[in-house]
Amino acid sequence: MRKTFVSLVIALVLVAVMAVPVMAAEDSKPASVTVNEYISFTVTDPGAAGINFGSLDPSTPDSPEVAQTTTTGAVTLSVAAETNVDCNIQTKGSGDFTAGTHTIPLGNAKWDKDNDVTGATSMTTTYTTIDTSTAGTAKAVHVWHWLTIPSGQEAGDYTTDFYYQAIKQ
Amino acid sequence: MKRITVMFLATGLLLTLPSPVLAQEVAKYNFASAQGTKQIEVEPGGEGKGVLYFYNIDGNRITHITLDISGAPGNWEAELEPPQHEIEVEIGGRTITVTENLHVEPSELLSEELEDVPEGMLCISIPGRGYALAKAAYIVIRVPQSEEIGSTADILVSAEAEWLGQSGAAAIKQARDFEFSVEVVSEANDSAETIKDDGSNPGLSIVRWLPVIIAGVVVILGAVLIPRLVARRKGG
Repeated sequence: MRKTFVSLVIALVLVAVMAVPVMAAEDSKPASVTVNEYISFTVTDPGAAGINFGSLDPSTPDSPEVAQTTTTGAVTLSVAAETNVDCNIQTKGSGDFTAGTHTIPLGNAKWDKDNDVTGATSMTTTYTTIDTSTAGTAKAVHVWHWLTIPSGQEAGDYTTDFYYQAIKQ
Repeated sequence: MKRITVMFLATGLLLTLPSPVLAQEVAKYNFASAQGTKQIEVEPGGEGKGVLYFYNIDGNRITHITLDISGAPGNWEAELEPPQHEIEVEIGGRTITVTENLHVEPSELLSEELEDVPEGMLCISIPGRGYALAKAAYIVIRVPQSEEIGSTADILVSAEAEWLGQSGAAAIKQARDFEFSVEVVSEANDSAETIKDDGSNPGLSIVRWLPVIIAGVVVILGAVLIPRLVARRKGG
């Protein structure tokens, strides 16, 4: 009886000795992975390349971009499906329209998401959010543009830059 | 009758000729990028690199890209590869000079990875769509030998994309920022760590010494019990 008890104690101790190093060797390795960030953004521009308002007379209010129709904007802004971050779709202008020393205020140009100038937003030199897109989902938004030519505006070919971007939220 | 036949043939021939109006496809200005890790590690006196890939599978115009770096501490060197340079481009019968870091021509979306990739390009995976030819731009950061380990900086790469041949009142452009976080580290791949046991974690010490303690107990038990057992057997 006693013999059995002693054997049992020794066996238990041996098992414990074997088990403890295993417990002590338990380790956790940090696992890491970088998921690449994709953003693909396309500006589709029907008609002549660029934003064109045509030839206008002074005192012309809210003249539409020449290529836009009731259903198609001056530009269509598309975020492709591989874009894997939520984005803000934005626009801004680089500054006033200039022709030599003459200028037309940038704010005379407007944008909207429908073909109605009522409620349209004036262009600014800081980005304004037009719409948003969701990671992994394609998105397309039409943008209509209008330009007002002030009275007494000097003749000339006025130009500026319109920026569009899809930026991670 | 003969005249009518000739007229029909002429009309049919005219219809099959590519119309200049039809040939003028709607312009699509695509600016597409892939950014890998945003973490750059650099040793004192060494350099670290970040990479950006640019591709153009949804556009039908060449995308000209200029890059600019900001945010690097004054004593660090931050540069872009390829650097900004001038190229001559012929458009509409005239040659113009364009300043850019790189340009990306429109390319097809590929169903499988290309083996023979044109020089200066890479074939990258486009999640959920396939593969595309891309160009890489590298951000190279060099820190001085005296830089303290653990120093960090947030570097911003600002990209601007433009397309030639636009007329009208406003030229269409795109912009995008890429952030990189740079950290000065001691040695590349040296992640070995030495824990100095200051006694603040007694549990850890017990676990470490437990096998030795148990082994000691076994030896002591053996030393006490085995002679007894042997003596008993002899006695019995």
